[in-house]
Amino acid sequence: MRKTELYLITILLVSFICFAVLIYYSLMQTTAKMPPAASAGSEIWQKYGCMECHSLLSSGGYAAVDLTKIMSTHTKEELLSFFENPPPLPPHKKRMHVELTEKEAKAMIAFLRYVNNIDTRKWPPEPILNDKRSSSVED
Amino acid sequence: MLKIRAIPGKLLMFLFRQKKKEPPKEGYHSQITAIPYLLAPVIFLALQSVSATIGALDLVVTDLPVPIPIETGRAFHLNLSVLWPLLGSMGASYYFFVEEAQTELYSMKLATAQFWIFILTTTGILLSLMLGQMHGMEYNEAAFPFHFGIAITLILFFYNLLRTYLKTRQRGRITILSILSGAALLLLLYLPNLINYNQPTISEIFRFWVIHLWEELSKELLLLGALAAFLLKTTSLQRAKLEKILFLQLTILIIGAIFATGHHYYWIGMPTVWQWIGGIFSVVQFIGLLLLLYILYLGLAHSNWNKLDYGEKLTFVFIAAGIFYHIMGAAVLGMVIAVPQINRYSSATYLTSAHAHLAVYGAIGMLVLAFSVYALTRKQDLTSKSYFYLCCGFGLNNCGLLIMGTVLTLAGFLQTYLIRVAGLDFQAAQTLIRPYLLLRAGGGATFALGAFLFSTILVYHYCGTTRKHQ
Repeated sequence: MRKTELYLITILLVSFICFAVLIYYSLMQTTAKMPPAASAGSEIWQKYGCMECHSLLSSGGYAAVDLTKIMSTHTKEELLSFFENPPPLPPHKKRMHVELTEKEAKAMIAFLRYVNNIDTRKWPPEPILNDKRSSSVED
Repeated sequence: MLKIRAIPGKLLMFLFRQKKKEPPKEGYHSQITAIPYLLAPVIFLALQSVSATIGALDLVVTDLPVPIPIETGRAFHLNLSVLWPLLGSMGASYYFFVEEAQTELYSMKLATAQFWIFILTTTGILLSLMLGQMHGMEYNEAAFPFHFGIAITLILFFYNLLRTYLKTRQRGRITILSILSGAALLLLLYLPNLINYNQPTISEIFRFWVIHLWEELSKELLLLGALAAFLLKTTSLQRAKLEKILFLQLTILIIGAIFATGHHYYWIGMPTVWQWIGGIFSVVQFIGLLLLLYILYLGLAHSNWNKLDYGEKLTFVFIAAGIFYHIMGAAVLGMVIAVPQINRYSSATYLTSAHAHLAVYGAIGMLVLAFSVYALTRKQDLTSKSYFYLCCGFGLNNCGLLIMGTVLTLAGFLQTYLIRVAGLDFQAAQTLIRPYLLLRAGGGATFALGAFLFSTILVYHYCGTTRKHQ
């Protein structure tokens, strides 16, 4: 094997193995088991493409409110009512937010509750000048 | 002393100076298989820019009658933004790999089959997304079977390059090794994404192996190899000198990109140590990009502009633009978001969107288009008229991109301030940044116009030369 080949393979392997080991140990420390209802909610999250407008865990769209800690600011009843009678999607007046069945809404809430319990290292950050959280599902 | 008034005229004369007539350069027969790979991205770009402009308008115009919902439209846009640069990177790799390996491709048939599998899979992905079939995470929303289509093309790509590498006498050349490592990583990083993860932290971890590591490592390795090969072919830059810098560049690129993935792991439920890993290695990545700038400088310093044909000149222009966006879009804007010790407030705002536009299209897309221009003008050089229109298309397209980048950056800063500093309600902030989003749609329309002009002229030129040579 030539020096250049050996060098490149070594750099790639060493970096990647260290990276994978770091990920493995991080997951060992942090990941809580996911209940089946939350797992079903995750599938609904993906099926309706919620991440195209909303962000979760700092990724996703920029057109709607971050839902990472939505269960800390809203009750289950508020969210159920929102999903079953969705409002128009701003800036539209006729186009409505996606409507979920009761079963789907409950699964989605289980998923959002699971996400709410993830230690996101204080994400999303509290507003610096005002402690009031800035999200409202009705919007 | 040079008068200021004369500068635009001299610049035009410099760009349009009559080239020295030279016969078309000889190449390898199997380079012809790379042509569809470099032609299709130009067409996909035009399609993407139109769909994205409609999506941008849909975000700001009340009840705009759009047949496709915003979520599937965005997924369509995001998937295209990953797929066509991937196709083009593979094309540029094939094109320059044989050039540097000084041997024909192991199998042209395999490369052609790979191309059609990729096109079929991409078409399937786009159609299924338009029909609202979404099953995965952002940027990777396609239904499960389509992931296999992409995986098969990646296996064929790596296998073909590996077999070509094994038969060449030029083993050990850093250019082809860079391309080969890029191909291997494309496949390896994609494999964990064949499975759909419901657990959000795990899903995010593997998703960024494609979204971050494909863009900032695999495609970079492919395009760096192609860039070096292009400079060695068109300039008098010495191989030994370039290889020394490439060694350093590859080391920084590999280590920097792998550990800088950490900047996507800050807020997904991973330990705080990732904030340090991601922050430090994001800075390392920045140093790597400065080296890329140095490589471009060396290339330009060792080239004779008058001896370059129009196609080569335009390739240089696209490469220079690509490296500009690498520095400004990928690095500078990226650092604003990715170093939490400096700023932890701007993730998931329009600043991320500005960064994504300038880094994905500006940095990677521009380099892919550079090699499309190069490969599609080898059979016959551009006429001065086509060159002029292509320059206009490039100019319009870049104006559009810069408008989008600037207004999205402003909207992102405003969003950060209003929501994360002042604590304003999300929707109230959204109403305040609406004018910026309207301007973004204007930028998108300018971008699309430029992309359309550019794509039409390039495809027309290539089809014309093909007819002439038949």
